[in-house]
Amino acid sequence: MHLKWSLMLVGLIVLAGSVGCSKSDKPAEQATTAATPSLGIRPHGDESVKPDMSKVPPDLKKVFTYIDDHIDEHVENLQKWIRQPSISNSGEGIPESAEMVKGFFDKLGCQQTRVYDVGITEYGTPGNPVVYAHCDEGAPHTLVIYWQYDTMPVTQPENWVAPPFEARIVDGSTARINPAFKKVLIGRGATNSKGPEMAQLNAISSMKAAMGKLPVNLIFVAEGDEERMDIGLRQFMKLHSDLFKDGDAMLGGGGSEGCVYVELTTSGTSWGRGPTVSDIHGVFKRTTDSPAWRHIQMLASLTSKDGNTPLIKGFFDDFVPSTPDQVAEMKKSAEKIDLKVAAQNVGVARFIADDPYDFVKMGRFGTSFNLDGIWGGNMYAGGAGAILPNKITSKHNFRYVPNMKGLDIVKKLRWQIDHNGYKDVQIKLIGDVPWAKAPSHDSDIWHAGEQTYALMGVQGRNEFFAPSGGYWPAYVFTDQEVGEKIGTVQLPMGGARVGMGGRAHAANEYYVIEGAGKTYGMAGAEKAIAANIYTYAQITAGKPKKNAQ
Amino acid sequence: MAWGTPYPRHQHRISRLTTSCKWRAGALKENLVVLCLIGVLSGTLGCKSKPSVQTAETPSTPKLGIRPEGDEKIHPDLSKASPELQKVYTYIDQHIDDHVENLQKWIRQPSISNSGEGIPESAEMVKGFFDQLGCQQTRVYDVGITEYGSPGNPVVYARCDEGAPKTLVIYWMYDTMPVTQPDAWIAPPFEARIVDGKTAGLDPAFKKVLIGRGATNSKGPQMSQLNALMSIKAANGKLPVNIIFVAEGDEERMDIGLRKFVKDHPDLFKGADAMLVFGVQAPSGAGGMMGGSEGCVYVELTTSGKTWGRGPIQSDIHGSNKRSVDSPAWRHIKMLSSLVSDDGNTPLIKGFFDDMQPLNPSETEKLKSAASKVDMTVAAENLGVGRFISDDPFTMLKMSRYGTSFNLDGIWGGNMYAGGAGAILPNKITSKHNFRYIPKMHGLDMVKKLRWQLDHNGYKDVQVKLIGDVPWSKMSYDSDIARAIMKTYADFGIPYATPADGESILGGYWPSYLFSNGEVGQKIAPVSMPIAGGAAGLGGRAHAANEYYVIEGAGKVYGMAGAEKSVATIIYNYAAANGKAALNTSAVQTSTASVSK
Repeated sequence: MHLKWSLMLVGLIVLAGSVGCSKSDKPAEQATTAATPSLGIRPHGDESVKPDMSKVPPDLKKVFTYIDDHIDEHVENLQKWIRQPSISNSGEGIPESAEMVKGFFDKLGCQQTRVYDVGITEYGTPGNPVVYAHCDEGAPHTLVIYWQYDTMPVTQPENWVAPPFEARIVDGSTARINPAFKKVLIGRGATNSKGPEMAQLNAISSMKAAMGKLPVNLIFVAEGDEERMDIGLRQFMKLHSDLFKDGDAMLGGGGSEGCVYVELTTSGTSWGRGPTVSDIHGVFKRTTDSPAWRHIQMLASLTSKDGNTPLIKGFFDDFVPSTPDQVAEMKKSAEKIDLKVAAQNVGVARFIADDPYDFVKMGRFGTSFNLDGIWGGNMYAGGAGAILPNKITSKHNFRYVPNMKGLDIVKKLRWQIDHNGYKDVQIKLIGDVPWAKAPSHDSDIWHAGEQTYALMGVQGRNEFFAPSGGYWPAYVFTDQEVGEKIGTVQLPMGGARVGMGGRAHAANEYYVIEGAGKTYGMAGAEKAIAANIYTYAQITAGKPKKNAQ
Repeated sequence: MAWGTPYPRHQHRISRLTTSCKWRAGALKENLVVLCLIGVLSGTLGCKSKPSVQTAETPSTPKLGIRPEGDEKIHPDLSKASPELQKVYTYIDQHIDDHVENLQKWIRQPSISNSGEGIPESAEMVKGFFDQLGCQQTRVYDVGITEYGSPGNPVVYARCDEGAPKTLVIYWMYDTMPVTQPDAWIAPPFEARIVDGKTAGLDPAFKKVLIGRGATNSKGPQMSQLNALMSIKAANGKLPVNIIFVAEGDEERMDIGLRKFVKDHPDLFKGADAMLVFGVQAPSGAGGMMGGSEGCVYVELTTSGKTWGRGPIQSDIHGSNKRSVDSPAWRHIKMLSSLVSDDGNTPLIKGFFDDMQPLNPSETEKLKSAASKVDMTVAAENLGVGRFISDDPFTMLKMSRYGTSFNLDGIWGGNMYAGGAGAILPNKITSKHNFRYIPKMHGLDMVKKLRWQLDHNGYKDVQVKLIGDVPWSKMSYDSDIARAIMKTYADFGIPYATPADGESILGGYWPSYLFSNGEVGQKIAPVSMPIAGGAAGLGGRAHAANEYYVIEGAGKVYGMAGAEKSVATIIYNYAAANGKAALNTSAVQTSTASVSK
C-alpha cells in the first residue's frame, strides 16, 4: 500500500507459531530452541517513551506482559511471512500467500475463513484472491481489519544491504537510518505492509492467549492486489458487501487521494511505420522510423520541461482548492518540518519546493503525473547489441484529489495525445482508485485511537491525507464522501499508529524491531493495537450496534 | 566494379541493401552475406562413414533427413569443379544431417556477450572445433581490461599449417545477441528447431529452416565454413591453404576484446595473405560482397537523482512522492527529446554532420541503378517494417548504404512489470544509443559533440558512458579473395553485382578496420590484408525474433549444403589464383532479370 499505511502501525498480537498460548510465560527462554539461536529482542529496546501503566487495566497488563515474553517469536512470525514472496505485479507467490494468510486466521480461531477467487475484473484482467475471515468472539461489536498481503516487486536488487526476502535483522547504521535503532528488519514488505499487519496479528493472538477471548468480534479482509490498483478487492466488494453487515467500524485506515494508473505503448504495428513484427537490427535506423524515439517525443509533449506539470488540457478542471481551515492546519504542520531531514528520510536530494508550506500542500492536495517505469529494446547495461525496438511501453500513475475523477483524466489524456498527433499510441487502463475524504473525528473508533495515543504517550496525528501522499482503497469501506462508491459498506474508521517502518516501494524497506527514543519497536506497536481494541470495546460497551442506530 | 554490397556486414548487422545490383529489394533484408566454406563438422563422423547413410545407426535420435539440394533450381556447374572439389561436394551431401546437427549443438550453447551468459563455455567449444579440425596451434586468449574500462571477452585463435603456399585468415564471432522478446519467438531461441518456411513466416517454398538465436548471426554461416573445411580434409586429406582463425566474443559489444587482442598480438597475423569473411545470399538469391565497414559508436546515457541533485538519490522511491519530488525519469525524457527532431530521424547535435564525405559519382550511379530495381513494399516486408522513412527507392538506398543515424536501442528503469501498477518514482533511467557514421566522421568526436550539446541544453548532470567505437574501413575488391568469391558465384549460378570501383565502406559494419589494407577511420596495429566475404545460403532476422538459417534451399537460394560447397569452392579458387586472374566479367550476370522476389 502505500505510504500511508506504511507509516502506521497498529498493534496486536501474536504470531502464528504453535507457540501461542501454551507456552509458559517465563522470560528466560534462551535454551529451548535448539537449532536457531534466540533473537534476543529487547521488547523496550532503547525507548524513552513508555505506556502510562497506571492507566492500563489489569487485563491489558497481562497482554503487555505476554507480548514482552513472546517478542522473539513474534518477530520470527514476521520473518517467516516476509520470506514468502507475494508480488502482485508479477504474480510470484500470490496463491501460496493467500493460503498462508488464511492459515493465520484459522490459527487465530476464526470460524469462517475463505480464499475467494474473484474472477475477471472490469479491467479485463483477473484479480488476485481475497482472503476473508469472520471471527465471532460472542462480543457485542465487530471491528473490520483491512490487509494487503501483496507487496511491491524488487526493482533494484543490487541496492539492498540484505537480500529482500531474507528478513535479516541489522542495526540502524547498517540499514542507513538512525544508528540509535539497534535492531531493524530489512525486507520487501517490511513496512508495506507485513510488519504492521503482523504486529496486528501478534497483538490479537496475545489478547486471546492472555485474556481467553477477544473483547470484539473481527472481520478480516486481505487483498492481493493493492499494488495493482485493488482491482480484485474492488470486484470482491461489489459482489460481497453483505459479508460486512456485522461491521461496526474499521480499525485503522483514513482518507485517501485518488490514483489512476495507465500504460502507454508506442509500436510500429499501430503507427504503420518502423518495425512491426519484433525488434530489428539497430543498423536499420538509417532507413527506418523509430517507435522508441516517437514514444520519447510523445511523452515529452505531455509534461513541462521540469517534468512537474502535466500539459493535458483540462487536467486541473475539477480541482477543489483547500479550505481556510485546511490551509491553517497545513501552515501549522509546516512550521514543524525540517525539509532537510524530510528529504533524507524519503531518500531524495531535495524536494521540488524549498518552502515547507508548499511542500506540505503538494503532499496533501497536490496532483501528479508520474513516469513509474519505461522499457523496451536492449536493456543490458554495458552491452552494445544494436536494436531498433518495435515498441516501447511506459507506466504512469496520476494522483488526484477531490473532485477530480480518474476515468475523466484518462479521457483528457487520450484527447491530448490525439491532439499532439499521436493517435496511434495505445493507452491501457490498469485501474482506478477514487479518492475518499478523511474519516469523521467523532466516532467511537476515532476516540479509541486518541485514547490509545494518550495511553502510549504518543502524540497523535490528525491528517486528511498522509504527509507525503498515499492511497489505499478507503472508498470501498468509508462512510465519508468518495469519488465513486462501489458496494454498500460504510464504516467509520480510525486508530492509533505506533511503531515505525519506511522505504515502501524502495530498496531496503525496513521495520523497526527494537525502538529508540520516542519511537516504539514491534512490541510497542503490538501493545498499542491491543490497547486500541480494548479501549474500543470499553467505549462501545452497552451501545447499540452501528446497524441498529 | 562495383558490386554491391548488398549485404550487411557480416553478420549481423545489417544487411544492407544492395547497391548496385540487381536484385530488388529483397536484398535488403538482412542478409548478410558472407560465406566461406569448408569443412565439416565437428562430429566424430568425419571421414569414415559411407555415403549411404540411411542405416539406422543412431538409435535414439531420428535422422533429420535433410535433402542436400532441397528444392533448389540452381546448381554448381560441375564442369568447372575439379575432381577434388567434386569429392568434397559428395562428402558434404552424404554428411549433411550431421552437419546440420553440428549447427544445432552450437546454437544450443548460448553465448550472449551483452549478459555474459555462456561466454567462457563457448570460447572453449570453439577452441574444440579448431582442435578437431587438426590445427596445430589453438588457444583461448584472455584479453584483460580494455581501454573502455570493461573486461573484454576471450578471443579464440588457431593456426592450421597445411604446408600450403598461401594463408587465409578466417574471422568469426562466437557471441550472439541476447533475446529481447522471447514471447515473439515461434520456437525457443536456444532449441535450434527445424520448421517449414511457412511456420517460420518465410517463403513457404523453403521446407526446412532452422530457428534460433545466432542462426544467421553468425553460427549458421560460420558452421557452414567449418563443415566445409572438415569435408575438404576428410575427402582430400588436407586443405589447399593454411588457415588462421580469429574468433571474438565481443562482436555485439563493439569488438572491445578483439580490438585489444589485435593491438597486443599483431604478430599472430604474420604471413597472412587475405581474409575471408562469412556471408549469405540475399532473399532474392543475389550474392553479396563484404569487406568494408561503416563506423559505429555506442553510448549509454543515464539521468539520476544523485548527479542531478534533485529527485530520489539512493534507490527508486514510492511513486506517490511525485507530487513533491522531482523526477529523473521525466528529465531523461525531456533530455532525449531535446536531442532529436520531432520525427526522431535527425540528430539535433551541433556539428554532427561536419566531416561527412559525400558519396562519389560512381557510387551514386551504382545506387541509382540499384534503386530502379527496388520494390519498396517487398523490401519493407522482408525487413519487418511498416514502411521506410523515405518512399523514394534511391533515397532509401542511399540512407541505408551511406547514411548516418542516432538510434535509441533500448531504455529502462523503474517499474517494468507489464500490467502491474506498483507506484515507483525511479531514481535513474538509462538509455542506449548507437550512432552510425561514415567517412570522415570520427566516433569519439561525435561523443564529444553529444556531450557539448547535452551541456548546452542544460543537462550537464546526464552521464555519457562510452561502450565502444568501431571506426569505418574502406576496402577494394580488386583482390584474389574477392575474385575467388565472384568466380564461385558465377559457377553456382548466383547473380551478383560488380563491387564499386576503388575503395568503399559499403558492406556493413564489422571490425574491418583492425585488418583492412584500405583507408580506415583509425588504425590500431600493423595488420593489413585484403578482405572479402560472401557465400551461398540464406539467413535473416539478425538481432530480431525468429532469427533463421535456411537448411534446405529452394529456387535461387541455396541451403546449408550449397553454402558449404560454395565455401569449399571459394577456398580452392583462392588457392589456385595467381594474382592475375582477372575477373571474367562476362561471367557475371548482372542481368538481373533473374533476381526476383
